Amino acid sequence: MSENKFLDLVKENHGIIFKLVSIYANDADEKKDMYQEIILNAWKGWPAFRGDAKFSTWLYRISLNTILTLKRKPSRIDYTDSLSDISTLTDTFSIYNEDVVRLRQAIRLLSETNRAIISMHLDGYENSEIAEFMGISLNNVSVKLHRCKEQIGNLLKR
Amino acid sequence: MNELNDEDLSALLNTSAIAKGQSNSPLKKIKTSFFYNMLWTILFSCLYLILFFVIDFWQIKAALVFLIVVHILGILSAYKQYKSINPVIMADQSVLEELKRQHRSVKSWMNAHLRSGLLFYPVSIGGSFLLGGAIGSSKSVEDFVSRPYMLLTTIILIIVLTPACHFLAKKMLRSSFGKHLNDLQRNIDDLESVE
Repeated sequence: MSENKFLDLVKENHGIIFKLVSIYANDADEKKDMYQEIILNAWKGWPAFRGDAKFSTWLYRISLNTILTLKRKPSRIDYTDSLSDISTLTDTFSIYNEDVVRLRQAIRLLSETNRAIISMHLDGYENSEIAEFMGISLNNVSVKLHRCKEQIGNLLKR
Repeated sequence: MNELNDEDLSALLNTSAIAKGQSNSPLKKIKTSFFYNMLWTILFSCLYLILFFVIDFWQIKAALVFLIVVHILGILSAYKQYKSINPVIMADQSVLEELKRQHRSVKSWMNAHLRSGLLFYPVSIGGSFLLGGAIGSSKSVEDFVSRPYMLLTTIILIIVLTPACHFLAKKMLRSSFGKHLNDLQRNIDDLESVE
């Protein structure tokens, strides 16, 4: 498949990368590094993409695998139980809807793997798909999702 | 903070930018480091080979032969590892499998590095001391070693400096990849734990 086709598909699915990068990167430099690394890995993996899965799912997997295995700078976010502590970290999200910003801030307070799980859940993936994607049991996904929702609920109430 | 907006990121999406892009993947860096290690090892082996023909002391010649053999084994092992490292992110593997694969690769590279050091340090410490001593005192290695306590000093140096070099190498590897390994392990544990 051609170079142009790849660029078109990535452009169509840009939202996936933006969203994931926004909930993992600690600053603008890291955001840019992550983005470039994801695009580079997607480009390298593109010849092997046979179209068995949807491109969006394939890109999601490449993005998450890249982000979670990238050598990261020390996080400036301490896992706290208050949203106000990280408000300065997320002041210019592309979507300025206050609820969405608060939800993203809350997601950023979760552990790295739970951020991936809740992000997939919010994107409409079934629990079985999340389980297969993450490589864990369906039961574990359900339990983790329940805990994440509880944690986010508590954070949003504050 | 996150002043980079989506449009700025979109601007990075063009074929020339992708073609110029350098991966920051740890495995890619390790693979590159393996390549340069092999290159340096070949260069040093050539240097040892030249020294082998230049130096007359048979003890040093024996140490050099040993070093060359260790280097050749090192190159073969590094090449095997170099070939086995795949820095491309797998799209057909689950997140957990990918995390484990990367953790395994980094860990095995660190262990291989430390193991080869344990073979290399004693010979190079002993050899360097004997050669330096013999040249400095303008005597043969045999005469130099026959001086009081020289053999004992060589052995003590090897005993003290080998663990010191090993410890330093371990510390340097830890400072380069320790946090990354801990992050990978934390995510693996996190995924595997049933809350």
